[in-house]
Formats: sequence, structure tokens, C-alpha cells
Amino acid sequence: MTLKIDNVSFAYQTDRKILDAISLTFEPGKFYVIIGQNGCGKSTLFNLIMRHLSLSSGKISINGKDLQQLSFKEQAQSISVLSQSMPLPEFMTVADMVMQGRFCYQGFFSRFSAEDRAIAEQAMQKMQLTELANKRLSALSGGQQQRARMAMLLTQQTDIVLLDEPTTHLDLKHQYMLLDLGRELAEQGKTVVAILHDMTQAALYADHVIVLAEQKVYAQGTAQSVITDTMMQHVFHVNTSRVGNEKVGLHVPTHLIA
Amino acid sequence: MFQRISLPSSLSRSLSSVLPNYRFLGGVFLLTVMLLLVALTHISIGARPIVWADIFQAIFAFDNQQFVHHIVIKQRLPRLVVAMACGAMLGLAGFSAQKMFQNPLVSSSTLGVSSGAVFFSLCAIYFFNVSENDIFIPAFIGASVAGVFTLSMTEMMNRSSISKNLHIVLAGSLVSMLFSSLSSFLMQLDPLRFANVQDWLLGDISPADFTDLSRIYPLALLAIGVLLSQGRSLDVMIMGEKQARSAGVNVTRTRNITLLCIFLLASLVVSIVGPIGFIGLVVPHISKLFVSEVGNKGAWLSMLIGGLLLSFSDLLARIVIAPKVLIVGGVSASIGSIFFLCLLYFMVRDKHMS
Repeated sequence: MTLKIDNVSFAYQTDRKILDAISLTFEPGKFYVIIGQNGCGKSTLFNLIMRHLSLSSGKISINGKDLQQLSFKEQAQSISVLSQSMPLPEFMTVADMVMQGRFCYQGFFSRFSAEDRAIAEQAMQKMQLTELANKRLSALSGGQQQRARMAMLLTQQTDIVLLDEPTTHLDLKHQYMLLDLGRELAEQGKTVVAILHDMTQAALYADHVIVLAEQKVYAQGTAQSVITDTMMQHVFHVNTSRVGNEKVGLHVPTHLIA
Repeated sequence: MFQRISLPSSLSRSLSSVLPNYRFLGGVFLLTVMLLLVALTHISIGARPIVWADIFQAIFAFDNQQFVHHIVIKQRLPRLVVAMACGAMLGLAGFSAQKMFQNPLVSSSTLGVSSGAVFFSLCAIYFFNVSENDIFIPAFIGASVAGVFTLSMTEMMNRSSISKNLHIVLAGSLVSMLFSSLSSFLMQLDPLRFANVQDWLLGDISPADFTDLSRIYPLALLAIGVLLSQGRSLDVMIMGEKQARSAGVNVTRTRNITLLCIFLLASLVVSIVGPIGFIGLVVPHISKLFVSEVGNKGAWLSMLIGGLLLSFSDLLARIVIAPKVLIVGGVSASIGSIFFLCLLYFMVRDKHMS
């Protein structure tokens, strides 16, 4: 499914603009990465897509259909999101939580079917949570909780997947596991959009990088064309030099290698 | 990405909640037995003791000639059934409220809903000459006004955050206090007119019978059915509003429907037996001993426990200072407030207050 952000603006009050007439297109089969400073409106953009906030102006659509016209259930069948700071209910078990991803496929009187359970079970296997299925969420480490959130997202089986700083709380192994999973989903033809802080990971994984700065899209394109020393200086206010070969590079603050 | 697979039974078991199923079934069994015992004792004890055999006979082979059978069917059974029904309604209302707010301290009494219902009922009696039998509508309006009042006050207090779980209870007690004082003010205007609602004010089952139940049962069943239908949405809402919306729950609708049903159940109970407090507060905690909050089993169990608790309170009310009879609202409130204090103590001790 193609997710289209069309001329979208958002302001909390009339004077405090967060996003100013942004237009973006997210196509199936690609891994998009959004980068930008804190407060540049990355998470706000996700919140607008998820309808936690309402647009000041503009339109968001999937496959040409205005999101506003979908019910929350229909939307949940198309778009899933891994939120940065989703509070977890202490007393729920991992399995119970992951099952909730199937909510959007339930009719009024239907019960969770064996298929629903199988899907949840597979998602837990994928996120290496099977052993923890009956543990309470409060007994989990931050990284395990993040994987539980991801498992719930997988059970939603949507064509569009939004990942808001998915690597938070994760140790290195699981960071790459999660990013690999993002790639895998993109290769399966899903539309994957991730907000990342790590430039190296962004460059390694993204098909398309979008830089947000000062309420606008500062630049977008392939990682090589977008993540440059100039961009690092303009957007992140850090003087960097790129170290590495053509394929993989690291932007190191200049004063450290001078 | 997932191919369909058939599921080994060991896996499907791992997907149910942490408390094993036998615990739930055991709970149902235990509570049902207790309910039966309380019910039989409830009927047999009284000014004229009745042996259990007579009770069964009266129910299954009613004999018009036997005076004892009349006592069972016309006097004691109605009282018991009213107690159980009201207890079940309060229990479910409390369970749903605690699940939705994710707060172990809320119930229709701590939200101020019951006091609001009482005050509006008294107003209807005093100003519009409404009969004591027809106070459901003013009670419902009062319950809703008080509930919305409490929730908006909570919203206001939440903006400055001290201890969020307490905010709603604090707001609820203030609203409750406001309406109680307004009620006593109103009653002083015409003590004679209100002479016969004195007991009702504390929550009194004795005057209620099957005719009262027959008036409220369609709405009560509707509210119960609707609340049960919201169970799955409430499951998702345990994870917070944002996550619930992402998972496909219409959060605003679910919240409004649930609140409406809680107000309905509370005011239906108030309209026939008065404001019986604390049942709704205690019941969910007992149900959690047997079954997880996720899923609808807890809701069903809450009704069972509510019925048990209120009929047990009524039994106590009838035997503690026999032959005099206490008012059941007083009994349930004293059990409940002691429980409430203990709950607060343990929550503060375990620092669950944020």
C-alpha cells in the first residue's frame, strides 16, 4: 500500500507550527528512514498518521483513500506502529499483549481463533519471546518489552509498518535483528517507515532517507546523497568528516579526528 | 509473512493468561458453593427459622396451604434475589470501571456516582412529586452528572500531577460529599415528606421485591450485555489509549459506552435499594485472585462475587443484632471502607501510587 502525505501542516497552537506543508510518498517494498533533530516533528508525523492528533491542514491517504474515512479498525488492518514510549500494563502477560494485535480482525461476536493464536505464536517466535510468553510484562527487561511490542505489531499483519525509534532499549544484537526484520518486511512488499537516530544504521538499511528540519523536508533520497557532512552541519549542528569506504561510512565529529 | 499452521495444544495453552484455567474453574466452583450456602442460610434464618428441606419444598413443590412456604417465596426469597441481582450489577460496574481506568480504587461509590443519583432522586421526589418507585430516570441523570463532574475534575487535577490514582478518588469523594450535603439540605426542607426514604438513603434491601426487579431487569440486562460486549476493547485499552487506537479500538466510543453502562447499573441499583457502597470496589480485587483481568471471565466472575458479597452482607445485617435488622448499606459500607483503607495502605507501602 502506498502511504501519501499531502501538504500536511500541524500546529499545537496557531503560533507553534510543528510541520509546515509537508508532502511525502511512501511506496511498497521500500525501507524509509526519517532522521532529524529532537522536536523536528518526526514523531508528530507518526501521531498524525495514526490519528492521535488531527491535521491542521492537508491530507493523508493510503492507496488514494483518505485516512479520515477509515474506521479505527480498518486503519489498524493497514497501518501498525511501534511506539517509542508505549506504557505497558504490568499485570498483562506477553502472550495476552501480543494477542491484542489481532483485535482489528475480530467481529463483534467472534472469538480469537486458532489462526489468530498461531499468528501470535509465530510473531513471538520471530521476536524470540516464546520462552517468555507467560511472563508478566513488568518482569521483562526494557529490551524484552520492546520485542514484545514488536511482536504485537507483527500480529497486526499490516501492509504499512511504522517504527518510531525501534532500536531504543535494545542491545546491539537485537537492534540489528529488528532492523533486519524491517528489511525483510520491506522485501515482502510492505511499506516500512522508521525513525532512527543512528546515521550509520540509517545509511545501512534505508532505501530512501528523509531529513526533517525546521518544520520542512530538508532533503530526501538515497543515503549517500542525503547523509553528508553539509547536512550534518545544517541539520544537526555538528561538524563532521566522513570516514569509510563508498558503501559504509561514519560521520565523525571533526574535532575528534583533527 | 506467516503461513497458516495448526497449533499444538501446548502452545495454545501458553497463550492463555498467567493464571491457569483450573484456578478460574475452581474459583467459580468455590464461589458458587459459598453463594448457595449463604443463600440457604439467608432464607432459613429469621424470626421464624426454616429448615433447608422446607426451603427446597417451597421452591420446587410450592404448597399454598403451608405458611412456611409463603414466608420463603413471598418474603425471604425476594429479598435474597434482590440482594444478589444488585450485588451482581454493582460488581460488574466496579470491574469494568477498574479495568477501564486501570485504577484499583474506583467504583460507582468512589466516583461519586451513587450520591449524585441519590440527590437527583430526592430532588425529583421533592420538586416534581415523583413517586419513590419511579426514580430511575432522575437517579440516572444524577449518576451521569456526578460521574462527568468527577471525571472533569480529575482531568483538571491530572494536569498537575501528584498521584494520579488518587486524583479520581479525591475528586469522587468531593463530588460525593457535595451531593450528600445537598441531599441532607433538601431533606431538612420537608422531613415528613422524606420520612420513608431514610433507610433507602443508606441502602436498604428490605422493602424491595420482585416487582422492583421486574421494572429494572430489561435495562439492567441491556447494560450488562453491552458491558460484556466491550470486554475485548477494554482488554486493548489496558495498554493505554494511544496503543489501543493503533490496534483499532475506537477509544472515545468504548469509553463513553462503558461509562454510560456503569452509570446505568449504578443508578438502577440506587433506584430500587439506594446507594449501596463499596461492593463495586471490593469485587474486582477478589476476582483477580481467580482470573486475569484480560478477557471477559473476570466480568462474569465479578457478577458472581458481587451477588455473593451483597447477599452475605444482607445475611450479616439480619443476624448481627437479631431480632433487629441492620440496614445492609451500612454493613457493606463498613466492610468496604475497612477494605479500602487496607488497600490504600498496601498500595502506599508497595508504591503503586503513581
